[in-house]
This record gives sequence, structure tokens and C-alpha cells, in this order.
Amino acid sequence: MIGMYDRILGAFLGNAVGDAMGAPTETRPTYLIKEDIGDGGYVFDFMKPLDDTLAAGMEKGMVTDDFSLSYVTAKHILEKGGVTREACVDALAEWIRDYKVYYEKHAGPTTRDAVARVLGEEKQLFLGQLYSVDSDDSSVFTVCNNGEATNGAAMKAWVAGIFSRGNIDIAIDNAIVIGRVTHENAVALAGAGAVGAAVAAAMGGADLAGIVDAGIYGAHEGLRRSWDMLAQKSAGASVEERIKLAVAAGMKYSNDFDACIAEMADVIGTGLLANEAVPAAFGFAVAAKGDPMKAIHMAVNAGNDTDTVAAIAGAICGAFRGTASFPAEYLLFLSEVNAMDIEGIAKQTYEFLI
Amino acid sequence: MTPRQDKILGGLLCAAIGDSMGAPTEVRTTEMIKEKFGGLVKDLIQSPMDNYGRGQVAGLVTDDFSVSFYSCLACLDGGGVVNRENAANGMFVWMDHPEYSRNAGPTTRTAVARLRGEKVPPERPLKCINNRASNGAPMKSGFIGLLDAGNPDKAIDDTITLCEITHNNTLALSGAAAIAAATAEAMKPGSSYIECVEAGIYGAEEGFRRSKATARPVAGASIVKRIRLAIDIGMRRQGNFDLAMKELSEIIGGGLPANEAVPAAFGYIVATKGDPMETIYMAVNAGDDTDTVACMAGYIVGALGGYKKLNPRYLEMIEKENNFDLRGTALRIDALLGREDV
Repeated sequence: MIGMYDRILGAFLGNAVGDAMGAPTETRPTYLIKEDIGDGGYVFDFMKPLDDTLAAGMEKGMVTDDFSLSYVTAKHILEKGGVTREACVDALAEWIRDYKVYYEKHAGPTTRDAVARVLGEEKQLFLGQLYSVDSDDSSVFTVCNNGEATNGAAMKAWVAGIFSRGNIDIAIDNAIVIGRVTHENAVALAGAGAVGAAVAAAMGGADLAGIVDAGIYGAHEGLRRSWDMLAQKSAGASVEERIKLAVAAGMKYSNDFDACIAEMADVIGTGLLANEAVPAAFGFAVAAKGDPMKAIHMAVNAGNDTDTVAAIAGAICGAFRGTASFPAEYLLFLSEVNAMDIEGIAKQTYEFLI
Repeated sequence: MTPRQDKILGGLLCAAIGDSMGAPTEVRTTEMIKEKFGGLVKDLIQSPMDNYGRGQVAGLVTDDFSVSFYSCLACLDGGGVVNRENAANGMFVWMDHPEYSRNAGPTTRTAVARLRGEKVPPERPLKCINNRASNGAPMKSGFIGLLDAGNPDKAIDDTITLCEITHNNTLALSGAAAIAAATAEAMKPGSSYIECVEAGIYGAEEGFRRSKATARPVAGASIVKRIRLAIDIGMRRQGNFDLAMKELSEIIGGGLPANEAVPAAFGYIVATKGDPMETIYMAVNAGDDTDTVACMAGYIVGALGGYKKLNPRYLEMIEKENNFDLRGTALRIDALLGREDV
């Protein structure tokens, strides 16, 4: 029986390990990961990022935007005593101030836009409130903002799953709150709903099939519940349908590492868009039978947005299996390199929830 | 008009129809299209004010067909060959027409500035810039299949030459080669949609392989494998327009990345058995980057079915609103191909 604290720490650790191990392989396709980073083979350890990557100049074991923004968001949720927009906005402000290097090197396009919007002159203004057909700015007059269907909402949505006490519906609502601060986009929030729901299911003791069901439900509900909240809509491939396809791929290639990562990278995609990264993370979680390190190793080597896919898969699997499958030294190593008290925040979260 | 002339004009016109018909529906989902326009859009209509079309008149094309058409004219004017200079000239003329190029993204603008010899700011030294694997290359490569009628292999080489000046990465070139190779195949007398799709996969494979040594590497889903998935869906849903369109848009997607837009185009072709207007209707109403997908698919199915399958009223409208001489251009391409019909 895996205890609640172990699941919480497992999710924090899974997210951090996936993010840090994926940082050096991010943007490359699999064959270049092997050629340039893995000395001809796959990468199964933390590495120092090369100069031609987004993580250039960072140290081995340093996380990126995925874990750092999630960590700060959890911190502010604890301070405010719940998942609120205010907590998330404060977290974003602290993140760009005190975790500047993670923001400057790694923040994606949608999050960057949001920082200006949420923290700038017109503080707290949703992009939706800017939407006006009379504007001359195409980002304001178009009825849909399809370019913002990115994975930056999903990358931190696991925090919603942790704080929902195993309640999937609350997790979806909270994932929307957390995601919406930066991503006013229903496809992005479908991805957030999927991740939040899956982590909530894992926290509640669901089996792997139950986690997948929750993820599919979360994607559906994330899209449906956020749709009417948003002034600008979004077209794009369905996160829900692609999760099904990715889970099928995970099942089919569970025993074949090469074929599994090729299928996920080539067909599902492992890129910046929420409808690629989130389904791929579910596919790897299933292929790994929920083992966090196995899922992370697949995601790290599948190419493209490796750190985000690995971070999401790591959080889901970490909540599912707890800390047992992580090498014992990882927690201390990552906490030191990143100057973050991972164990401390997991303890505070546990104490808050019980 | 000879059969070959009919096919060439069919390719040009159907691509223009797809682009122009998709302009009003671009960015929306299928449900939003139905709501906004009172049903599916199956005619050339004015664009609303809340998308990139920004109220443009019925029959005006957008960036997609225009960049392709100006590139085609530049190649014809430059001796009927596809080379770097002609490819660049096409881009220059296009950029000088803001009514078509006003929505060009930063990547294209920077690439054109560099071609013009202007100083551009240095970029972050990344090995892979994955968001450049966009549909900006495949949206202009369709005409290559008309110039290289019946010769998919040459179409692949010419496509790389045409597109590497703005989109020099393996995935964008793979997608562009797929569209051009399929169009070249469609120009063969007696070709069906099946051979076109097979040529498209060949083009995607070869476009990737032949450009790998010179183009920048990118990570991203495989055009080849996603075309195969789109074929599966399209084939199983033949005869059910709504379900085929829904599944293709949900699973394959129809957005800005080349690995969505190009596979989607082939999915619609398979779902409609290559019927030109049915393919266009599906692409126009599937949502997201509708005009681009419809334009790319239009080159293939237009060449396959020929002008005789298209509404002559559309030819009048498109030539008039854009001041394009599609008929004259088709005859110039035909003359270039020589006396022997393919």
C-alpha cells in the first residue's frame, strides 16, 4: 500500500526527474539524441546540456520551466490555502523574479505572452477580455487563438491533481484555474484537465486503467468546461482522441522500447502542442506499466519536447507508484542543484491535505 | 483544350478555389463554421471580420495560393526552370503584394530579408528549431507537380530547390515534396487517387531523405506515418462525409505544422475518393488552417479531375478578383511541357 505522502513526493520527484533528464535532449529528434548526447546510444542519466539547446549553460540536473513553475505554483497554493487564480498569478510573478534563469531560457511562447498580459500594466487581465473584432491586432481580432494550444498549461496541471484529494472533478476545475493564468485556450486546457484528472485518480489509489480513464475524461471535460469561459476559442486536433491513440500505441509496443518511442514520436508527436505532448505522456505511462523511470526514459529519448513529456509522465507515474522506483540519490541531487526543497514542499503539501 | 491543358488548369484553379473557399472558415472548428455560416461552407463567400481573411471579398485568395502562383510565374519567366534565383524572385513579388503576404510570419519575413541581402538579427544558436516545420513550404509546392507533370522524382528535387530558401528543414521539405509528387502523379493520364496518394508517400519519404544532408534537422511527427494514418481513417470512412471529416480533424488535425496539414490533405482525398469538390468541401469545413489544407489538396485533385470537373463561374471570379491569368498560365505550363502529351 503506497501512502499519500509517498505519492505526493513521487509526483514531485517524477516531474523534476523527467524535466531535468529531458532538458539536454529537448528539441532534438531521437537519432540526434543518440549521436550527439548518448554517445551512440540512448540517454538514461542526467547530462550537461550542449550549447545548441534551450538549456545551454545550465548545469547537469537543472530543471526547466516545467518543474520550476510547478514548484512555485504549489508553494503559493500552500501559502494562500487553496488553488486560486490569485495564488497562480503570484506564483508567476515570483517565478519570473526569483527563478529568472528558468523563465528566460525555457518559457514557451504562450507563457511569455501571458507574463506581459497578466503581470504587466493591465494586471490580471485575461486575453479573452482583450478580444475585440475592432482591433487591428490579429491576435486580438481573430475568433480563435489556435497558436496558443501549447503544453504549458498541462505541464503544471499535475499540481491540481495533487491538491484535489483524489477528486477527479475538482482536479479538472483546478487544472483550469492553474492553466488559465497563462493559457486562455481550450485545447491547452483540455491537456491540463487530462493531466490533473489522471494525477488525482492516481492519488486516490486508482489502477493504471483507472488513470487512463480519468485522463480521457479530464481531456473531454477540460475542453468542455473551459470553452464557455473563454472569449477566444480554439480549433485543433482532439487531446481526448489522441490520448486514446497514444494509449493504444503504448499497449501495443509496451515490450519494445525502440518501436514504442518511434511510434509515439512519429505518429502521436511529442512536440510543443498540448495535443501532442499530453497524449504522448499517457502513451509512455501505459507502455511503462506506470513505472516512473521507465516512462521517463522513453520520453527523454523520443525527441522534441522531451522534458515536458517526461515531466508530465513522471508526475502521473510518480503519483501512481510513489518514490520506490527512483534511484535513492536523485532527490538530494536535484534538490541541491536546483536549490529547491523538494522534500520540504512535499511534506507541507501532505500536512495541508490531511 | 487538350486533356493535358485541362489537367493543368484544373490543378491551378482547384488550388485557388480551395484557398479562397477556406479563407472565411480558417481558424474555426467545424461546429463554429456551421454556427457562423448556417451550415457547411460550399461556395466562395466573403470572409468574416474575426479571422485572418478580415472581410475579404469572395474569390480573393490568401497567402497560400498567391505565394504558389507568384512562384510559378517566376519560374516560367525565368526560363521555365526551378532554381534558387527564380524561387527567390517569386518570394520577392509575393512580399510586394501585402494584400496576400500581410499575415506572413516572422520566419518567412526574416528568410526573405536574408535573400534580399538585408542584415537580419542573429538567432539563438539552436540545433533544431522545430516550429519551422510549418505548412509554409507545402502550401507553395503544388505547382511544381504541374511543371514536372508525370515525373514525381523530378518534382521532389525541384520542390527542395523551391522551398529550401525559406523552409530549409527536413520535415517541411518532406511535406512539400509529398504535395508536389502527388500532383505530378495526378497529371498522368489514367491516374487515380490511389496512385496519387502512393506518390505522396513516396514524395514525403524522398523529400526527407534527399534533403537530410543539407537541410536543418528538426524533431517532429513523421509526415509519412501520419499520411498512412490519415489513409486508414479516410478509407474506413469513405461514403460518410461528416464522420470522415470529424475523425480526420480530431486525430490528424489540420493546423499550421506541416505534419498535420499535409497528412490531413491526403486523408480528405482518400475519404472522398479524390473527388475534387468533395475534397475541397471537407478541407474547408474541417476547421483550423482550412485554406492551406484545401489549397494543397486542390492542386492534387484538381489535376486529377481536370478543369472539366470544376465550376467555370469560379474561374471567372478568381481571375477577376485577383487579377490572375490562370488560363494563360496553364497554357504557358503546357507549352513548356512540349508537344508530347504525358
